[in-house]
Amino acid sequence: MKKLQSFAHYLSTSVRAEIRGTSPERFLNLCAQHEIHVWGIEYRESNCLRVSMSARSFLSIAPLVRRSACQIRIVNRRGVHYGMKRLWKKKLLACTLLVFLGICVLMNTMVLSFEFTGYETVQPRQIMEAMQKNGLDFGTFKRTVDASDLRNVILMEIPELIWFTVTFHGSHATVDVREREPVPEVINEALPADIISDFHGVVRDLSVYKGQAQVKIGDVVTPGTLLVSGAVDLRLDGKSLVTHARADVLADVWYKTTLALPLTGTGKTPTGREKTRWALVIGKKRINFYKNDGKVFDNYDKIITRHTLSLGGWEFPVTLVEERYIEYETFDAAFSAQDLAADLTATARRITQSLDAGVEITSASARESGEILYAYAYGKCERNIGQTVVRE
Amino acid sequence: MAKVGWLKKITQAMELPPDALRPVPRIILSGNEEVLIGGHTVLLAYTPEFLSVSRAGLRICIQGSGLIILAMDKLGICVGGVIDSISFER
Repeated sequence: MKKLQSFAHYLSTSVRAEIRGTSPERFLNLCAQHEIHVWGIEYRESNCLRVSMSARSFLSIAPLVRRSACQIRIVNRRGVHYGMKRLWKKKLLACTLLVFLGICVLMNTMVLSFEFTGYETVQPRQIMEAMQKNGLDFGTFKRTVDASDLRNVILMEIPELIWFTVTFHGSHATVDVREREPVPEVINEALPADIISDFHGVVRDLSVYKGQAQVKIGDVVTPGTLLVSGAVDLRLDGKSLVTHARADVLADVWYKTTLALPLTGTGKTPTGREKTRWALVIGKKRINFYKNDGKVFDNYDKIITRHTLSLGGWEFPVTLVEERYIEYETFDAAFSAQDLAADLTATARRITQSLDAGVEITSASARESGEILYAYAYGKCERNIGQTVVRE
Repeated sequence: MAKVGWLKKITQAMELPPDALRPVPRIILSGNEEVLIGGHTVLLAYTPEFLSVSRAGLRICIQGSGLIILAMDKLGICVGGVIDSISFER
């Protein structure tokens, strides 16, 4: 609370004064009587006190000083007003302040950071490239950007977008986009069509709603096999009716995954030597803090760490780039098939299961041949293999 | 004085706080670190070891060490420091 009061006094500009006289207490009583607020009254020596009061009050206490037969002198001035005056006297500081203010104003007229919202499949990089092509980039002056024109151009350039807006908050640009919903393919049921197989399999269930079945349960089909024909025999002098076939054809289908892993290869071990390079990227300008651009070591791993300047969640186009080079040596390495077989087989199983919904693994194995380890996984599932094809 | 005596009797009869009708100083003591004396007081003497104020004919003497007047105006006086004793004199 006292700190808060001190801060309030600092803002309101106050003075610290020394009162000397036969009775400084009388001066304080007069101040209280005339509703002049004084604080921080400190005893210095006999007949001498130090008090704080607002600068405005100090200007009106001359009669009270005379009445109390005291002398008063200012010891210290505190407050924003006096601070600014002191700063103004120091020309270099004042110039620096002005330059800083100028930079602040200039930066406020430029776009220094971007934020993308609302995207799903279209990547911000793609949007950024389109914006750069049309004149909106880091460091672009905001007044040169026509958001309406930009929207029209961007929507033309990226057809996946249905909505694009760019709004500026200071030097920060918020790009809000909405993507177009994919339009499902509409099949014209008025056109005659057949149903063919799109997968290898054994037919397990056949429900024909329209058309004439060309296969029966238990038949083996390959991709392209005609399952249900749109031409229905009318049994009237060999005449047939052409229609749009509709059917559900469920079949057992099999999946197979084969993985191969060489058992010999090249390993690497760090030598312990490292080197770090620094660079500063401002917008698109990169300033390297190193001289030699060439290779640091013959064999090395490079780890890049970017430290972007941010404030309150907003990122500025100023990035400190740290490049760490770690030297390593290579050596010929041989791996044990026994150690890797289980992992490779599990990977093959996992890949097989991810190929379709409801795939059950029927068998999985691993085998070594030469210096290569093979893993196999077989899976089976039931799926609709019918695909509607419009008749020519 | 007669008026004060009369007011005192009324406040006692009506069970009012003593400072409701009469200029009795209200003193708020926060531990032995700070004392606030409400109302328009007159500062009589002040040293870091002794402070004396007057309020409505009552003299309040504060003894301690490192006494400092934190604030003073028409509404009261606030004294900080290490307070050893407060005494009253008529």
